[in-house]
Amino acid sequence: MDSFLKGADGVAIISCHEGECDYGRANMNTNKHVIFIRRLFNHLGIDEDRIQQYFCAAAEVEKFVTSVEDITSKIRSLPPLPKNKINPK
Amino acid sequence: MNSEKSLTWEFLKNVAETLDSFRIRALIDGKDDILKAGIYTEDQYHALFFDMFDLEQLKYELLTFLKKKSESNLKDLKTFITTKKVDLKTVLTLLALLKNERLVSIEEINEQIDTDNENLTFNKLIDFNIKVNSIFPGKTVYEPIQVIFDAKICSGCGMCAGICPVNCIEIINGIGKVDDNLCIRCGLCYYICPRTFLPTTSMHMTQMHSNKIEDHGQLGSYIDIFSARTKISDIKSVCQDGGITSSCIYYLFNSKQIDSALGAKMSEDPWRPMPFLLGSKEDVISSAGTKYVNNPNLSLLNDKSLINGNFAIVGVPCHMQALLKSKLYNFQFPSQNNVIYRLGIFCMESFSYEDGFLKICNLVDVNVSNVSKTDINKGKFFIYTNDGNEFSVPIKEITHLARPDCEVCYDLTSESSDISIGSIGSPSGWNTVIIRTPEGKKLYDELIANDIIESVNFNDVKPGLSMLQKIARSKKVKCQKHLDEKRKENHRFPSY
Ligand SMILES: Cc1cc2nc3c(=O)[nH]c(=O)nc-3n(C[C@H](O)[C@H](O)[C@H](O)COP(=O)(O)OP(=O)(O)OC[C@H]3O[C@@H](n4cnc5c(N)ncnc54)[C@H](O)[C@@H]3O)c2cc1C
Ligand code: SF4
Ligand code: SF4
Ligand code: SF4
Repeated sequence: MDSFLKGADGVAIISCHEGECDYGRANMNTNKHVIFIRRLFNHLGIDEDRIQQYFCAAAEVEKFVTSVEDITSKIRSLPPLPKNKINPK
Repeated sequence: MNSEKSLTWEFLKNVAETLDSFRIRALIDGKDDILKAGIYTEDQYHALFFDMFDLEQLKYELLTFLKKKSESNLKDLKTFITTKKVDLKTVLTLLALLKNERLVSIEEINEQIDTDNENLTFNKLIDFNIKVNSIFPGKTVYEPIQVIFDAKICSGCGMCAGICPVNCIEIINGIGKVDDNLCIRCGLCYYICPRTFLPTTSMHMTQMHSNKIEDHGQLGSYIDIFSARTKISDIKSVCQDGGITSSCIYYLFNSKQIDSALGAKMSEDPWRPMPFLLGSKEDVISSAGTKYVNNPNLSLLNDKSLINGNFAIVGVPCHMQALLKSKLYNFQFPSQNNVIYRLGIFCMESFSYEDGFLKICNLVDVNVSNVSKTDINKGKFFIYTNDGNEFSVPIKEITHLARPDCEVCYDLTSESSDISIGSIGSPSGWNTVIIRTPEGKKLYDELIANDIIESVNFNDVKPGLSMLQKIARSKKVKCQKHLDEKRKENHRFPSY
C-alpha cells in the first residue's frame, strides 16, 4: 500500500517458487496477502490487476523479463492512480 | 461498487491506514486459524471482514477530517455527514469508538432540564467539543478482554464467547477465561463487549429510528407501556410474574415466526441457570421462571443451528446492550441477520451462584434443592419451598451478595430491546411491558389480536409509572456513583 501512496500505479512482487523460499514460507505467506489484497481491491473498486505476484527462480531470467512485461502492459491499460499533490514523500 | 475514477489519494491513504489497524491485520493473518476453528465459514468470515473493513475505513476518514481543525463541534460533524453521505448516528457510533481508542477526546456539552416529576433534573446533550489526541503510536492497539474480567466490570452476558472467531473464551460462574494458546489477538471480544464502551446516544437513536439527539429519560426510548398477563394456563402455572415473556416465545413458535430462541434453563445444580436454545413450545414451559443467578445466554450465539432459521433472544439489559452494540458496529457474527426479536427482561442486579444465591439460601436456612421459586418483590427477596413454605430477606441485607460487576450497570428496563418485560410498577401476577420498537409493537398487537394475553393501560394500574421511574433512576444514580468512584481511584470503568 505504501508503494501506491508514493505514486506507484501497480505493484509486482517477484518471488521464488513454492517450496524454494530461503526464508521458510515467506513467499507463500506473501501470496496469501496478495490474494487477500486483490479481493479487497475488488471490494473497494480498485482494479485487482494493479497487484501481481510472480513466481520466478533466480536462474529464470526470461521468466523475470516476461513477468515485468506482463505487469507493465496490464498497468499501462489502466488509468494512473491519483497522486499526492502536495509534498509527495 | 466505486469506479476507479472516483478514487482519491486520500482514499488510498485511508485504505492503507485501515489495513494497518490491528483488528484488520489480525483477521487477515488469522484467517487459517479462524476457518480451522469452524465457527465462521469462509463466506461468513468474508462478510465479517469486509463489513468491519468498511466501518474501520470510515472511522479513519472521520479521524482525518477531525485532524483538520484543532477543535470540532456538532456543526463540523454535519459537514462530514453531508460530504460523506452518512448519518449522524453512524458518526456518533464511530466517535464512541475513536474515544475509546483514545484517538480523540470528547467533551459533551449538556443543558440542565427541569422536569415536573419530583424535582428531577436531567442533562440534555446539546453539543460536543472534539479534539484529536496526538498520542503515540497514533493508531489503535490491542487490549485483551482480560482487563474487563480483572476490573470486575464484566456483565457476564457471554457475547465475547459467542462471537470469538476461534472459540477460545468460556464464561464459567460469571467469570471469563481466555485460552491464550488459541487466541489470535483480534480484539473482537473487546470491540463488542458492552462493558468496554457503549455508544449510548446512537443506541437510543437506533431504538427510536431517529436521526436526532433526543433525551430518553429514566426508561429509555419507548412507544407505549402496558400492564399485562397471559391467558395460557400452561404458562400461568410456571411463569415468574405475568408470563408475557414465555407467551411471546410460545406465540412466535406457534405462528412459525421463529425456529428457535435463546434463553436460560436450570442446569443440573438446582437454581444454577445455563444458556439454553429453545426449539419448541414445550421448551418454553420448561425454561419459564426467573433464575437470579447471572447467565451468559449470548455465549450460545455461535451455535451452528442458528444460521438455519430465525430466532428470538430473551435476556437481561446487558444482553440487549451487547446485541444492539453489535448491530451498530455492523458486526456480522454468523447469525446476526437471523435475530428477529429481542425480548428484554428487567434486571436490578444478579447474583453469582456460590457467593450469592447459595448464601441467601443459607441465610434463611433452606436447602437449595428444596427451593421451588424465588422472587424479588416489595424490597424483599422471597424463597418459596417445595413443601409450601415462604421465606424472605430484605434486599438491603443481601445487596452485598450481588455480583460487584453489576454495580456499573445503568439499565433496569432493558432499554435496548424490542419489548421489555418486568414486574416493577404492576400488581402481583402481572407484567409491566414496555414496547420500544415497531417490531415490538407488531408482536404485542399480535398477542392481543390472538387473544393470548390480557392487557391494560399502564396509567390505570398502581403503583404504576412513577414507581418504575423512581427505581430506574435509583439504578442510574447508583451506577453513576460507582463510575465516579472508579474514575477517582483510577480503576477501569465502562465508557457509556
Ligand atoms: C437476574 C434477574 C434480575 C431481575 N430483576 C428484576 C427486578 O429487579 N425487577 C423486575 O421487575 N424484574 C426483574 N427481573 C425480571 C422478572 O423476574 C421476570 O423475569 C420478568 O418480569 C418476566 O416475567 P414473566 O412472567 O414474563 O417471565 P417468564 O414467562 O417466566 O419467562 C422468564 C424468561 O426469563 C428467562 N430467564 C430466566 N432467568 C434468566 C437469567 N438469569 N438470565 C437470562 N434469562 C433468564 C427464561 O429463559 C424465560 O424465558 C429480573 C430477572 C432476572 C433474570
Ligand atoms: S479471545 Fe478475543 S482477541 Fe482472542 S481470538 Fe477470541 S475474540 Fe479474538
Ligand atoms: S461483559 Fe459480556 S462481552 Fe464483556 S467480557 Fe463480560 S461476558 Fe464478555
Ligand atoms: S444488573 Fe446489569 S450487568 Fe448485572 S445481570 Fe443485570 S443487566 Fe446484566
